[in-house]
Amino acid sequence: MTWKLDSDRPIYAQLLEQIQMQIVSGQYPSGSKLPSVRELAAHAGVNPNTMQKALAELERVGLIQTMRTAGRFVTEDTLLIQNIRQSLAREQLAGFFQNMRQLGYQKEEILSFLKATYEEG
Amino acid sequence: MLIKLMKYEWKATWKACAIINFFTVFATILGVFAMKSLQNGILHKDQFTYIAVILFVFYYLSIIGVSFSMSIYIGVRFYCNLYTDEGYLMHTLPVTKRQLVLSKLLIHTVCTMITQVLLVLSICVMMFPLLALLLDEPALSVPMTMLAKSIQEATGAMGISLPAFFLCSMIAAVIGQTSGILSIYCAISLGQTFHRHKVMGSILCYIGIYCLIQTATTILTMPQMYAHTSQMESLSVINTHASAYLYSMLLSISVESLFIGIACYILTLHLMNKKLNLQ
Amino acid sequence: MNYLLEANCLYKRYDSKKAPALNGLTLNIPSGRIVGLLGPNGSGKTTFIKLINGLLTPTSGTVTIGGMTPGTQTKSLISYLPERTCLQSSMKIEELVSFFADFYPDFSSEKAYHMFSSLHINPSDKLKTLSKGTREKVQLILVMSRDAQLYILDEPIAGVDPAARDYILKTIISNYNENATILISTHLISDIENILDDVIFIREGNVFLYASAEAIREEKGKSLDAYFREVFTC
Repeated sequence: MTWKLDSDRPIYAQLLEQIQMQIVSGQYPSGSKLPSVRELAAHAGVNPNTMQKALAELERVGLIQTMRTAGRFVTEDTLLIQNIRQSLAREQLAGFFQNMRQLGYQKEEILSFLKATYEEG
Repeated sequence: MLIKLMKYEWKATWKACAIINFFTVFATILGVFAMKSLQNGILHKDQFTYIAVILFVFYYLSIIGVSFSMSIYIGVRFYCNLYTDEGYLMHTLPVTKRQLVLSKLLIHTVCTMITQVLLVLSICVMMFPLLALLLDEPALSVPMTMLAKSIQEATGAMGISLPAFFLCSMIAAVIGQTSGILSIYCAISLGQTFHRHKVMGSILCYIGIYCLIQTATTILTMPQMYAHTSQMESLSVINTHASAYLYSMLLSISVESLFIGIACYILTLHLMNKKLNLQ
Repeated sequence: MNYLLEANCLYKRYDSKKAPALNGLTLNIPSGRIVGLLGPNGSGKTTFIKLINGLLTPTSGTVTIGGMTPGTQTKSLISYLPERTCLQSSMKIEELVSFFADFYPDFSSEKAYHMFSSLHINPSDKLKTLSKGTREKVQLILVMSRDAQLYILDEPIAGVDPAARDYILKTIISNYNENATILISTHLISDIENILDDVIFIREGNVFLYASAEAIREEKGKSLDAYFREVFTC
């Protein structure tokens, strides 16, 4: 995958979001090994220290674990991954509803609109 | 590190050195060939003086040109390699300034000595057919034996042993050349301290150093010359004094060159260590 | 803590009639950072870099690398890429590789050849037959093939095409040793800003700002490039 980094925001936060996304979407499945910091940093075109910081934060949350010699792995706690996935989905939905409300749609209108759009295609 | 620097200096310099020396050989061969053809009557006798003059002017100019171009090449090489863009690399190598200067000095001295020896040889080679031509003798062996004989007579009369004199002259030549090269380095380094027109500054500094050396030489050798000539007034002592005079001149000029060389070396290193400002 | 690079009241004046190129610049750079040295033309970036490398003598003030003033020892710690071609153009690339290998014990010929082949550069070519951009690549590859404590790159990507630029940035990221510091001077900020830990803004021979890149993005809410334009607006 390609990394999309926006220079206006802290790189570290964006890396965090994108790696999280890769884990919950299954690109890095539960229990799989992550590439080294250097490899990830070179691939994303960012400073290794920044990548390190993002990974450390993910480790703090529990999404990834460091084995002393073998490297970094995605957690085997699938429940945690599911929880994070759900909370990300909820954030997306909340954003969607907020935007629709800004456009002047009411709750019922949004739901019927959503249904109609989904059935169309 | 010094050896490595010398290796790369040699790699960069040998081609220019070879071209200059090739030119000496070429001019000599041309000169000898022309003279042989004169002698063999291929050219008309009337044209003799005319052509001989042109030939000698050409030969003389090439010899001067060869000595000059070697000095100029050394100056340009030193300047380009240490004070232009290439200097960015040379001055950031983990070597001392002393190693930088010494590596160049040793290689450049070797190159100049090769050129100088070839020039002397060339003049000798030119002399034999010239003498043969002047004496109207077809064989080269006649002037050769003549010359050898007169040299022997002269050295014998003056009480000089030829190999010893040759050795002393060689040592003096090496010292003189080294000192000359160091004065070029020093002038270029001094030119770098100018705010603008650094190359012009270097040339002016060289002229300055040159005048200084000439004045010093005159001041140093004048009293000796005077002392010896006054002693040589009676012809009976001329021979023994001539050798003493020759040796004392060689010695004083060498000692002077040595001092000037050392002074230039110290100044060059000081400028490089303390005043380096690459543009 | 001991800093890798310390500059103390560095002052450099080329011409007594003009303003000094460096006007009492003081800063300390630790090990293990990628630092951007940013500033408009004539702000003193190159002067500072040349002082660190001992190519200039300061009018006053000091600069030390690993606690030592510029000299033979500091030169073996620093891998320096000047903003101009400093290699003898009559040399072949492979000769340059052996030149670097001869003088720098920390130089890896293997690394250099690997990078040459990735960028399709033929090592038996003479430098003078190559284009300006390729020459810059060669010089950068030679500099990055060392295992130095401090890399100083003066305008490393200015003349290089975008594809090679990406490759070079990746090489920089994956090659340098974690304890080494990279000091990059450039005005092409947007191309390199994602790899920087810290930035130094230089203005009129002095440090205007020395901060972490992430802190600037967080506080100002804009990219380094945009912030640079704001600070140095004409």
